[in-house]
Amino acid sequence: MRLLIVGNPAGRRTALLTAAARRAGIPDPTVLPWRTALTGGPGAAGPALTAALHAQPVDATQVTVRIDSPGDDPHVDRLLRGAATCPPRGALTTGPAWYRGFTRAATELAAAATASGARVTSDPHDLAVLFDKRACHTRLAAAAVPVPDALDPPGTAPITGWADLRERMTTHGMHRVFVKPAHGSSASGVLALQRHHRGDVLARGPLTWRAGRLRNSLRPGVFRGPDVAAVVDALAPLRLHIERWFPKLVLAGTAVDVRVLVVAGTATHAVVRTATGPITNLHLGNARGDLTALRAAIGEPTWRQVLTTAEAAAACFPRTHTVGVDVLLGAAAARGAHRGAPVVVAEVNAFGDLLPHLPGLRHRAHDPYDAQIHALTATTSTAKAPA
Amino acid sequence: MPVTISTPTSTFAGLPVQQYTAGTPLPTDPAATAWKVATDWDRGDDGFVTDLTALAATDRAGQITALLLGQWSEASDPLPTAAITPALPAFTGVRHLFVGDMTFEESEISWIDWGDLTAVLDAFGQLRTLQLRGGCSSLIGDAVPFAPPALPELTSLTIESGGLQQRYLEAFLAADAPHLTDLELWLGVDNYGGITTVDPLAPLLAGDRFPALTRLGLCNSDLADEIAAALDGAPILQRITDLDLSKGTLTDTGADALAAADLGAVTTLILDHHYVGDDAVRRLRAAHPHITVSAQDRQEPDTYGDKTYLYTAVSE
Repeated sequence: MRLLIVGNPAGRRTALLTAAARRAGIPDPTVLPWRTALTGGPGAAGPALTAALHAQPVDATQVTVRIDSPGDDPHVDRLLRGAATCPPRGALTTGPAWYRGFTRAATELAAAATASGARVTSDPHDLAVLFDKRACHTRLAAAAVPVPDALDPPGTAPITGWADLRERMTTHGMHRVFVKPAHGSSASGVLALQRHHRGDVLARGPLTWRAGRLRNSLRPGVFRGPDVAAVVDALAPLRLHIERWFPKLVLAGTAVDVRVLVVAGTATHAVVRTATGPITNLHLGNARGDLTALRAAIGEPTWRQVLTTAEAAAACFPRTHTVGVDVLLGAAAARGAHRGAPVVVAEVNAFGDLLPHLPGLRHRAHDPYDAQIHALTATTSTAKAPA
Repeated sequence: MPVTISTPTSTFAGLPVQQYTAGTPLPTDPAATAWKVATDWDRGDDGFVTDLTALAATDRAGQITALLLGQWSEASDPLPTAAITPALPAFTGVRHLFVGDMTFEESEISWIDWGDLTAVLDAFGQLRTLQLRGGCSSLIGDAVPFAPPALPELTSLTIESGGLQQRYLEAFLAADAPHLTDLELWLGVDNYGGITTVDPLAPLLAGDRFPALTRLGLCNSDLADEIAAALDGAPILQRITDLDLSKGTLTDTGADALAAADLGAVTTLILDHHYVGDDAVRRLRAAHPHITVSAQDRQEPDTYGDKTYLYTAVSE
């Protein structure tokens, strides 16, 4: 098997996958840089991939194409949005233009790969849903995967701003919500927002005002009153998805959730993410937590429920080889409530595998990239077996 | 940056905490467990009242010794006193009570509103342990009258607040609690309704209250330096062995005031979460060689432009 990555050649993801390929004894992956693939715009990404496949030393049917994250490169961000200039540092760019560009590019790349006879590890229709949190929520709910209630269910218009959000929260009797840019990833633009019954409002999220513009920040921002209105109004053009705030389990002084990596249908890795505030993404300087302690606190039946819930979420995307599922546990999970442990899925991430050096649940020696290559080579040989 | 409340309550009054849900049977010995009642994110606000009422209606309710009141409302409504008061007389054995056992994931500490606390405490006159979290900022809650409670058997009182309102502080300091040995007050900051001077602490520091008190915490305060100064020679310290000034904004100024102070009977001094430099900590230890000083978790001030900010451990 040979891997061809559409990705960032200098990025960590490429380096980690290359290292795993070497451990598996397969050739180093070839990288088609996103910048190259997008030179002619997202609609012209197909020919770039076709050319890269033809340049391979083996027939395209022997090649597995992996569409990797286009993140961490301002030029790629610009090309996806069809913008004239690169965004400034910290800019919130994953709005509708970014989404159109990314889904178009993914569609063209997958079509070109398929036309050449190559295998693709993700499906463009799945990616389009995974990068639209409203559509993703709808798909999960339809499959009876537990998710927090949405304030913007199918058939309703996206939130237009704070006045609209406030009115809908009142109508639905929701006082505490998570505001998420629908096409965003990581914790970019996410706000944990709550209203007091007297009308006071408070929101926290990794955001800051810089020169009159709302920017990503690694520090948690706290916004009150009119500031909240300004932040929500500034986020609204990105398109928002709103869910009821699911109060997370707090253990040993920190809120926790679990990122479960599901590879070819099976939960292979899990990492506990901890934070002293409501948003747990690891890149915000939050810490990996103690999985053994969590399992002890919630008990094995609830732990198995976490894994099966993640696998059920991944099963909603059967043509996508790997997803990272963020599973939240409710506060009652560790205090013996008799209603069954509260577990919900907060996010399903198409590129949720950047968990360097994380030991596997079943095969400790397998990091997330080893597990993916192992599963890909296993299914490749299975497919060949009858011949 | 301010940090919010985060420690989970897995034990209370030495007992493991278990949440009670209506319809589930109590074990043979309900006194071996601290029972928590709380609604959940998807149950609406009725869940709390339903569960508490059901717990009171079980035939073993009178055997329960420890009770925790957790999240009662997603909307930060006041404790629904009128709805729960009829259920409370069934808990004849409760000696340990926690009102407001919520994490930052469940509520802002300054949004936890005790409502009519008098009505609750009237039902629990035999308490030995009382722990309260919250208090609700006077800016957003109703100022429900609160009279000094009579708790003749109380030995331990802990009030965790991001801004303890003066009217609660004064009423608790005037409580009838002759056996109180442990008092821990998180005073908080004025932004969230806390006191702005140390004057309301004067009756406590003068030693007129709580004759059995040996452990005193004046914690989580942005008046930590002023408190340190006010403690010099305070009569109350003649019977205090453990003094806790942790979680506040103590600086070199306060540490030097403590170094120069007569600290009475104090043998243990806790300053964890502070802004005191190493030299000032050394001066403090040298001045009181017989006192064990804990000064962990030193904080660094935040600077924005030309302004410097010091934060208590818990404020929101």
